[in-house]
Amino acid sequence: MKRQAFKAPAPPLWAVLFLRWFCAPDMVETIEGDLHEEFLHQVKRRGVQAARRRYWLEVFGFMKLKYIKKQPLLSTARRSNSLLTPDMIVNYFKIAIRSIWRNKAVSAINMLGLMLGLTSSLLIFLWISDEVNMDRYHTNGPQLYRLMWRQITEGKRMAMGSTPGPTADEFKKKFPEIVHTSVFTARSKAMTLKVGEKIFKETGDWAGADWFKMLDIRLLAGSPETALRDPNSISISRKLADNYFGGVQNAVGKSIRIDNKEEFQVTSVFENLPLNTSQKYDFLLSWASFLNQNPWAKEWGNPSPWTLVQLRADSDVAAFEAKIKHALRSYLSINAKNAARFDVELFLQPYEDIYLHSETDNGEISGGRIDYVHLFAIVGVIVLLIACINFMNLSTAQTARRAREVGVRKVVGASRSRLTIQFLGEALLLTFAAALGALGLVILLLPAFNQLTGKAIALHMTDWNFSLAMFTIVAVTGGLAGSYPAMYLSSLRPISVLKGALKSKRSTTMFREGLVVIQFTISMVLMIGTFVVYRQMNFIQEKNLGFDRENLIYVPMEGRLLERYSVLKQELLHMPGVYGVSRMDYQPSSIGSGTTQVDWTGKDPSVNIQFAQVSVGYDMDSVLKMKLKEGRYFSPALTTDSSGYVINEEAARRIGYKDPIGQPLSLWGKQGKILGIIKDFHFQSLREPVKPLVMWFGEKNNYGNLLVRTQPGQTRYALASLETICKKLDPSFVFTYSFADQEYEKMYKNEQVIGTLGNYFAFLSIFISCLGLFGLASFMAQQRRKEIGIRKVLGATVLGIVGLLSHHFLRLILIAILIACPTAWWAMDKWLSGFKYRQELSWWTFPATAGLLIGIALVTVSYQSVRAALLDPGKILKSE
Amino acid sequence: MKRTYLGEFEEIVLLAVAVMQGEAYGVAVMHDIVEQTGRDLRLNQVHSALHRLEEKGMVKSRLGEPTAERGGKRKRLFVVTAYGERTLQEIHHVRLNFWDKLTNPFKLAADL
Repeated sequence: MKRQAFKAPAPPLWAVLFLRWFCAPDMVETIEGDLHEEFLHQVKRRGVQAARRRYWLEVFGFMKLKYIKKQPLLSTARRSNSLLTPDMIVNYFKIAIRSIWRNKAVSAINMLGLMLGLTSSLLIFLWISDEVNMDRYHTNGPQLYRLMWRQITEGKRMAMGSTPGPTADEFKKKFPEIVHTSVFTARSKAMTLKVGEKIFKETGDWAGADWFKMLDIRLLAGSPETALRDPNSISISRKLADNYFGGVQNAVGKSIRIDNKEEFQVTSVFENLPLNTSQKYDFLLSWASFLNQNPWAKEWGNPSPWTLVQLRADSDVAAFEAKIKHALRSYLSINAKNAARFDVELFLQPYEDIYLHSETDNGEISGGRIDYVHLFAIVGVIVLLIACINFMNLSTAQTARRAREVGVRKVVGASRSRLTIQFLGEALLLTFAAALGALGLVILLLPAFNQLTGKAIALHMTDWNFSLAMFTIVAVTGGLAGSYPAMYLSSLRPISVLKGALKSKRSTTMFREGLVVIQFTISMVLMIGTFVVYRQMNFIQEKNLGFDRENLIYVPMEGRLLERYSVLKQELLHMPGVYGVSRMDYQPSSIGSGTTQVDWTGKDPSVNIQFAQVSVGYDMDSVLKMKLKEGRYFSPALTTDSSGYVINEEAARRIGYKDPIGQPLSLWGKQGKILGIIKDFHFQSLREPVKPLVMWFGEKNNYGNLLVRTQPGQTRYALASLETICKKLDPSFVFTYSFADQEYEKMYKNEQVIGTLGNYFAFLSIFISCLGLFGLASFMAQQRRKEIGIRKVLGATVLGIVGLLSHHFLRLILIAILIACPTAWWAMDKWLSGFKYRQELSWWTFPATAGLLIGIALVTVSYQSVRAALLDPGKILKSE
Repeated sequence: MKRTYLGEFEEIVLLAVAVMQGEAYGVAVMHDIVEQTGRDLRLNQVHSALHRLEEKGMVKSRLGEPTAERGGKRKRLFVVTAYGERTLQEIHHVRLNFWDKLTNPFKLAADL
């Protein structure tokens, strides 16, 4: 009691704290003050004990609604304040950095995974945006269409972008909806341009007179009216004007000799085409000059060039399409009688779609590059998803470490929303850092990527689209990656966490395991996919086409070489390394021209079959090493042979003669007879079935390719010989050549690129998945340290412990394999069905890939498990 | 005619505040009333009444200086507003009128 004398009595602490807790902040001070004063008064009157009792009573008296503090949840204004003040943001930032720094290994794995995922998705984004922006810069673009030819023959439908040459002019007169029309050969043909002493090969095409009125190609000189109007007009790009004439203004009116044959007048100069143009050409020749050289293009029966039409902006496209549907009937003598058996219909394809939708199936536009755009988009999302899954997995696996933090924060009053924002922010921060790394990687990888895809993509950081995409990708990835950890961690109950009784619930474990299964399923599908694409590509390369493409060289001929072909051939045959020489107007693996004007005795007039046609020289069969089935090939010994035809087996089957050799056949009305039947060979892509083919004799054609078979291993000498002889016969000849096998591979460039990229992405996804697995395994080994220690003390072997830790993951991977196999089988079967000739899926692909995947996963896990198994149990258990 | 509602307890508190002339705050008001009326009061009742009066605009308050006897907390000092004063006067006036009319001294109820 004495001690209390010099110490002022204090009101009950708990009561004071209680008052402070519930009482509104703006009232608590005066209330507490009054209570205190009253307390002292009571102490004087009735003593400390009574005063304290009275104090409690008074505190409870204030528990009325008006004095009670409004909780943050009820007042949104206050909550948003406290969460988004700059101080709090800085605070979150600090905490995020600290926790990232504290778990360096996990953060590094997370970062690496996210960075690789982001890098690939950014590259894919760049690729896709490049693809979809192709040809989309023309003002008239939405009104431009290509006429498509659909042929219905004997119930079968096929479609193509070629129409007869006269269509353009005829339709412009006939249909008021059409503003302009233009033909376009779309051949990207390399021709030799000669101006004075300057001779180079350049790429060009032929186009109709309205070309520059329809498309947004700026003319630097000349007018769109006259640029391609007259025969022998040429329009050249700025690049050519600079190279040949030293400037745009100098070029107009000058003449250029093309292929050492004809002079062309430069009527205009156009700006170099932008990169997002699918049809590449450095010069255009007038369609009128094409017709002079190729009279066949005036006929209605030979669909060859594109016909582009520009419709009035206000015209009803569907109605116009209905109008032109049968417009060709009268020109092709299709009548009511034969229309049921065969018919030709026209339809429209938007010009801007041509690049991405270039393939047709059963007479409909079916896809093309757009399929790869979709495929890549999916792959990009998938790789990113795998990285996100890693993040989720590893973050939730870290629960034990972060649970205490969550518990303490909650006890001191952090709300769940606050914690959620904190964890999300952490994920976003990490994603942002990863994105910076990814951006660096993209810059590094872009040249190689361009090389691989054959593009010229540049990274424009200031491009609004790119920034937006980047921002979206980072936000979505960060949000997705952080969502589950944020939800899960913020849901932890502080009491159970702080008691240390944290046990991962069955559901969260299941969730994590599910994610691992998804990751490996995706990886496995990608692996199988890559493998199947690789096998198909291999199949294509190994496939016997019916002619030998090894040691075969193509040289495009022109001018004097064509005139002096027989001399050229004789001289070449005497040169070292040359085995055989012949000529053909196409390359044997891409004979693209078709005609319906093939007639024979007894042909049903209502049947209209598309025959491929090609002109060939002597010895073509031996140079290509083709096999004759019946009859013989064109022979110089028999002069009448030059009016004969050699057909392939498919043509013989379609023509249907019982004994075809010597029977009459006419092509474009030229009568002849069938000399021989050659075994079917693949003269088009393996996506197509072998079509009927008529070969006609064209030793004296004024165009074509030289085919030179070299002796094995002597290609170098043969090339030297070739160049010497060509230069000797025509000093102005620009010698270019290509190898048959390389030309062939070029036809499958898309597939090659897909295969290679698929490889990288499959590798990437497996790598990222394994990163995640590695993290999980280390987490698990950490968690089970004590168990392992005890097991070792009780005599478990290292192998036994490795097995113990691995079998858990093995189970997950087995499930993934079970899901992946049918999925991959379905997807790849679909892809392969695009090929008429294909390597079928073989069953052993699946166990082989599965084995590989298991192997990789086991290696990943075993490092951690072996490390855990080798730990000294004494050390682990000492701490207990 | 505009009428003012003031509860009996509020009237007493308002009178106390008026009497104390700027020195009125929770505990002081309570002690004054307890002294004058001998009622058993609790602080929260006085606080509630003061709040209500403030809401009705009859008193206004400001924070005073912290003092040691209050554990370092400040007082909330109340003064009567002009409106409060008029209200008191009206009430007083009404009561006076009644008293004036009461010519005879009280009759006992039993006599009626």
